[in-house]
Amino acid sequence: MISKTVFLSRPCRFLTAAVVAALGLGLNLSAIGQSGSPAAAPPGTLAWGAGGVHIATGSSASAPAANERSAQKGSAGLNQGIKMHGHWIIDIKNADGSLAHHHEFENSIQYDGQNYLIGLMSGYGAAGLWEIYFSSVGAMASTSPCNTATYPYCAIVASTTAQPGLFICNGLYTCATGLTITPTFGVGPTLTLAGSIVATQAGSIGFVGTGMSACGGAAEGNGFPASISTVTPAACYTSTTTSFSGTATSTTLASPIPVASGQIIQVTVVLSLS
Amino acid sequence: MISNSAFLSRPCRFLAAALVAAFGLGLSQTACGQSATSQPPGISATGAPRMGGGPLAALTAVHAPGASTAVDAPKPASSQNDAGAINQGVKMHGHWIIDVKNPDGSLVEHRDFENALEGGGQGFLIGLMSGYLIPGNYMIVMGPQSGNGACVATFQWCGIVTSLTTYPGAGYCGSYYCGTGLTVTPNLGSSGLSSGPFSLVLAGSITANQTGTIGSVYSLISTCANIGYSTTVNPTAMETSSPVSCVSQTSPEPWYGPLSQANITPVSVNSGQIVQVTVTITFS
Repeated sequence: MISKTVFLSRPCRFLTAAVVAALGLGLNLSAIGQSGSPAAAPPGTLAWGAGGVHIATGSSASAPAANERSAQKGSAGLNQGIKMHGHWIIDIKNADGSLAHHHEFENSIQYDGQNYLIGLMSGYGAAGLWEIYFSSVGAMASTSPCNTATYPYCAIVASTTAQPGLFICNGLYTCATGLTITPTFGVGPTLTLAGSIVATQAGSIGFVGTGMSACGGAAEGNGFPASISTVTPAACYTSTTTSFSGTATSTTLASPIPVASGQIIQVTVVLSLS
Repeated sequence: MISNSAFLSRPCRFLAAALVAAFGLGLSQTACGQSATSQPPGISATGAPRMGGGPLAALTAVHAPGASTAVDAPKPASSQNDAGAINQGVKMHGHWIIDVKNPDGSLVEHRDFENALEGGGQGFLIGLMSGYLIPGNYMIVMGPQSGNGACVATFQWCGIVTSLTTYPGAGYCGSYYCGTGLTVTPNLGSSGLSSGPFSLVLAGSITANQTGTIGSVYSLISTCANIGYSTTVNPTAMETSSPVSCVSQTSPEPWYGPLSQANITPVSVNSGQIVQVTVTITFS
C-alpha cells in the first residue's frame, strides 16, 4: 500500500481508484468477509468505492445543465441536447458455446465521464483504452461471477500492460484481455466495446460499467492537465499512465443476470449519440 | 465539389451538418445575389458551414439531424430487454449567449438559448472517444435565416476564430467575414479531482460590417486524423499526432465542420455594433 500512496500523487486517475477500496474496504473485507455496499470515497478524491467500484467523489455527480434565462431567452432556439447512449448486450454462453441468456439494456454516464468528454473536446486529453467491468449487486464476493482477485469484479481489458488494465489487472480484479474498441463513422456513428470473460464461480451480474482513460500533460491543482495534450491517442493506447480515468458509464440492473461457474460472459457496449 | 456525390454515398455522418440549411436556405440566399457555385469546401451554397468538402446533394431524412434520433438510437430486443436497468443517457448541452452592444459598450439585446448537436457532431465525438480524431481549433459562425446577415464577405456570415491561418478559420474565413480572438476554455473541475462543473466554453466577439440579422448559429470544430480530409475514406486508425499539433495543423487538411447548430428568432444588428457570443458546452 505504500507504493500505491505514492502512485496516488501522480495524475494517473485510474491509479487512485482502488486505494480507498484497499484501505477503506479492506477493513470491511477483513471484518465481514465481503465488500459492503457502494459508498462514496472522501470528497475531493477519485477513488474506488466500496468493493472496488470506480467512483469519483466530491460534487461531481452531475454537471450543471445550462439553464435558460427565461426573460431573455431566444424563444426560437432549439432547446434540446444530444444524448449519449450506452447500449449493453450481455450473452451468457455455456462452455460449448450455446446461448444460455441474452440481455440488453441501457446505461448512463457516470462520474468522470463528463470531464472525460470535456477533456477530449478541449484537447487536454487524448483518448486511451477502455475497459468493461461488472459484478453482482453490491459487489458481493459470494455472488459475483468473478472472485479470484482482491475485489469481486470481472474486467475485460484490451491490455494488461497499459492503463487501465495495468492497474486493475494487477491482482485487483479478475481480468480477461481481448477487449476490442471499434468506432464507426457511418449514419449514427458508434463506439463499440466488446469482449468476454469466463465466470470463475456461480453468481450474477447486477452492476456494470465502462471505464475510460485519456492522456494529457502535467496536472494542475485540480488533478487535471493544464494545457493541451502533447500525447497522441496511439501513444496513450500503450501508456502506463493516464491523466483522465474512471467510470464513463454504469448502471445497476434491477434483475441481475444469473451466471454459472465456467460460463462465458460476452459483453458488447455500443456507445452512441442521438 | 465534383466529388460531392461520392461523398454522400459513403456512410460519413459528418456530412449531415448543413444540408438542411443548404436546401432550406439556399434559394433565398441565391435570390439575395450570392453565388451558389463558388463556395469553397466546407461551405454550402447558402454560405452555411458544413463538413469540409461536403456535398449538397441528396439530403435524406436519415441524415437530417432532427430525424436522427429514431434512426440512431440503439433498440433493445423487446423480448429480452432488462426493463429494470437505468435507461437513461447523458445529455450534451450547448448554451449560447449572444449580446449585441453599441460601440460605446451599451447593451442593445441579450439572447440565450440552447442548441442541438449537428449530425456531424456525433461523428466528431465518437472520433474523439476512440482516438481516431483529435481536436484542433473551434469556431463560432452566425448568419441570417434570410436576407442580409450582420456580416458580409463572399457570404453573409460572421465567423469568430482563434486564427485565420489554421482550420477551421483557414477553411471559412476566405469566404466569411471573420474576427479573431475566440477563446476556448475547458473547465475540468475547480476543487477536487472530480468536482464539476465540467464545461467547454467558446467565447469571442465580432463587429458587424453591415446591418442585418443573426438567425442561424453554429459552433464548428476542426479535428485531425490519420488521413487528411477525404471524400471517400473515413479515418481508419488511431491518430498518431497529438492535440497540441492539431491546433496549428494546416496540412493535410483536417476534418472540420459544424458541431452544433441552432435557428433562433432573428437578432437585428446594425453595422458597427458588437456581437459578443459565449457558447458553453456541458454534459448532464
